[in-house]
Amino acid sequence: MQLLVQVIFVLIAAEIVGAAVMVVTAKNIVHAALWLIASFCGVGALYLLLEAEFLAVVQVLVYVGAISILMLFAIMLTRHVTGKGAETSLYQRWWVGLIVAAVLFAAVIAPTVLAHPWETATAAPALPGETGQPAAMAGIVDLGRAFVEEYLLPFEIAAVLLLVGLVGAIVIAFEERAARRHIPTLAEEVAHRRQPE
Amino acid sequence: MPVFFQISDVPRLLPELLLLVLALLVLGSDMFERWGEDEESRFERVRAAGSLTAIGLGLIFLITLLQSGYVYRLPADAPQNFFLTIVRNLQNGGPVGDPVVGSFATDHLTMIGRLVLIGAAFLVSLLTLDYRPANNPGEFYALILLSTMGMCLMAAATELITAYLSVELTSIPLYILAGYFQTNTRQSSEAGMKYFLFGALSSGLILYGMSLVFGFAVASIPGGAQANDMTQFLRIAQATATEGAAASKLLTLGMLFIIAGVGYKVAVIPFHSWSPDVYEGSLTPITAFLSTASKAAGFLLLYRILVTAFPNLTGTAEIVSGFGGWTSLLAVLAVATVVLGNLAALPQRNLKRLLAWSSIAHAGFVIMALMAWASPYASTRSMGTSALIYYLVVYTVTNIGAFGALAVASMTVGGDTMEHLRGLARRNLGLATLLAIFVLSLAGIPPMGGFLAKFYIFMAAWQSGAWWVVMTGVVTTMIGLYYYLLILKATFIEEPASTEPVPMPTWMNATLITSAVLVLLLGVFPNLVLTTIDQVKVVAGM
Repeated sequence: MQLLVQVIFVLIAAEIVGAAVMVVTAKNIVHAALWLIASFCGVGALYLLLEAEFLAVVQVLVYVGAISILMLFAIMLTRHVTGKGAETSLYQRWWVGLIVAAVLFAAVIAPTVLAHPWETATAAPALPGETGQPAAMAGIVDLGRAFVEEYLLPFEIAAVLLLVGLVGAIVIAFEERAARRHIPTLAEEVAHRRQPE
Repeated sequence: MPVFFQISDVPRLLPELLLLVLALLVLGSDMFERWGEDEESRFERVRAAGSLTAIGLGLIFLITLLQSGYVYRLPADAPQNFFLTIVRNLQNGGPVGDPVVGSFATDHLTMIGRLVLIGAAFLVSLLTLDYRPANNPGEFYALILLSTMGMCLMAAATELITAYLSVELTSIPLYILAGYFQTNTRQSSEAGMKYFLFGALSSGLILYGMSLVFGFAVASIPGGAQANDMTQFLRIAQATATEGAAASKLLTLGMLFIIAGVGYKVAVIPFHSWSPDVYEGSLTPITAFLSTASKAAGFLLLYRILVTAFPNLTGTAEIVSGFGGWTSLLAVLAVATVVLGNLAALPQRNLKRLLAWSSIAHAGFVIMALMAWASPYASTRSMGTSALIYYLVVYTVTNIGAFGALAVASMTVGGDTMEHLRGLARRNLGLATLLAIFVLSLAGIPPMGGFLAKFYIFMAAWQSGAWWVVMTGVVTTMIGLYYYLLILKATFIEEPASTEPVPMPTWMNATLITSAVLVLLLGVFPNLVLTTIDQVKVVAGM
């Protein structure tokens, strides 16, 4: 059973990392967005493996269902990049970065992580919150309680953060038109952007 | 035992709530202003949003000051009436009590942090009044306000998730503001993009470090603890106080990532590379905001997180023996930052870039104050704390003034390079004098606040045994004097290109004079604020 879980974990992890690598290397930006969806799905599967069912469903609904689709829309509405391969020019001395990263990884991260006495294979699953494991918060009830008890402030701050994101996106995307009285519809906006061509 | 949010916690969060309300008000009221595309109505809209922001921030500053009780504390036997009851309730939310829901401390550090940050935002909003940001003024000011709210939360956060979210709430508006419209839109967009990319990377680093620290802390509780509160700094410190925890380097790795991530935000070398470009490309008042308030908030967060969550990893400041812990790491960062920051500033001709490098160097000095924790004595440590906060106060006021003077110069003369400032004293003696006050304070010349600030920092660092850091600091201060004096030489000695007098916009003038008076007051009568700052002996969660 333990082995099966580990095998599944490795498969899912490989899928997530592989898809994420494809996101940054794909030449076609639409393909990159599609790879991102694949990566998000993998993360959802990982949550499922951790027995956080609600989080898994939300991950798929929000990230795959909403955010990725929005990204695709944004790509489609942006001029010049639909479908065509975006120019990717790697920085000339990319190997310097590679060496620095490899040295840092080998000198700092790998020894630390390998030398740490990881607790492997706990014998019997103890009651939540008794062996130093965080009390399970996977259920919707627990999650909801945590949001109004311990994590009330972060929950509220996140709401303000979303407002900031919304305002910022509008400020960046829609520069103030000369005709401020008239709020253009999406079709007009698209037509306006196509005009200069 | 879970902690609940009480209704009596609302006054303790009042400044942040007021900032949020003001931001929404500015956003909403923009709609009711005069519509139209001509220059005049645009300017009227900018003025309306700007004035509302400035007045609101001034009021919030006063309310926060009243709440903190630093200038006036209501006596216990004051009569009961409507107004005094309001004041009493307000001051009950003052610097007392446990952190709100375990994640938001309202101690002296928070109170002083709020005053500095809201004060900085107030001065910056005054600076922008004459500046005419052309587009979307409501959103412009609302973003400044929301960013200020994030900074106040950063100064107060005692828990990992709150800390992370407040860092984001501070940064995201700043990314947008850095890329906000200017006449040279290309440079501004570049600044915004660069800031965003580096900021996103640093956020990733912070998150990675936090998850390592959280996981390690949870795993090292020796059995039987309710673990939902393990994101709180205090609980992390408790959980990792054992021998075994100190032996494992995993916690150190997590802390390294957090320091690196926050280091990006406050631009210490080697995490500084974004800052000169961003400072040059942004609107000058926004640069002032970036280089003062956001840095101050970053340092307050760094201070609180290191001191409350990682007191077991403190280490020493010896150069050869016993090298380890975060004090040693910060010592190395501080030395690199003051040396490279000051040297790189030498050849700069653009004054915004010059001040950007100088503000990197100043970040190195601030870090030196944290050296005090290498000393085992509480007195040295509290001296370091006072030095840190005093430096942040002085630096904030001075740099807002310096960038403000630069903003005036670039608005009226037409640019912000050394050549543009040439002979400014003959064209506008007042502006040149104000600029000189700020520049001398940055350089650390005695009557200004900058001298005492540096002096206290060196004293604290010296007492903790970091003599090599202090020596580097003193030497680089002298190197720094060269480029600061270059500015003054251009302003006072060189011949002007034209003798046409330079006008001084009203509100910018008022801001500059306020800052200059504060710089002089802080330098001559440091006890005005030091007695207050000395109260930050106990940081909530320690």
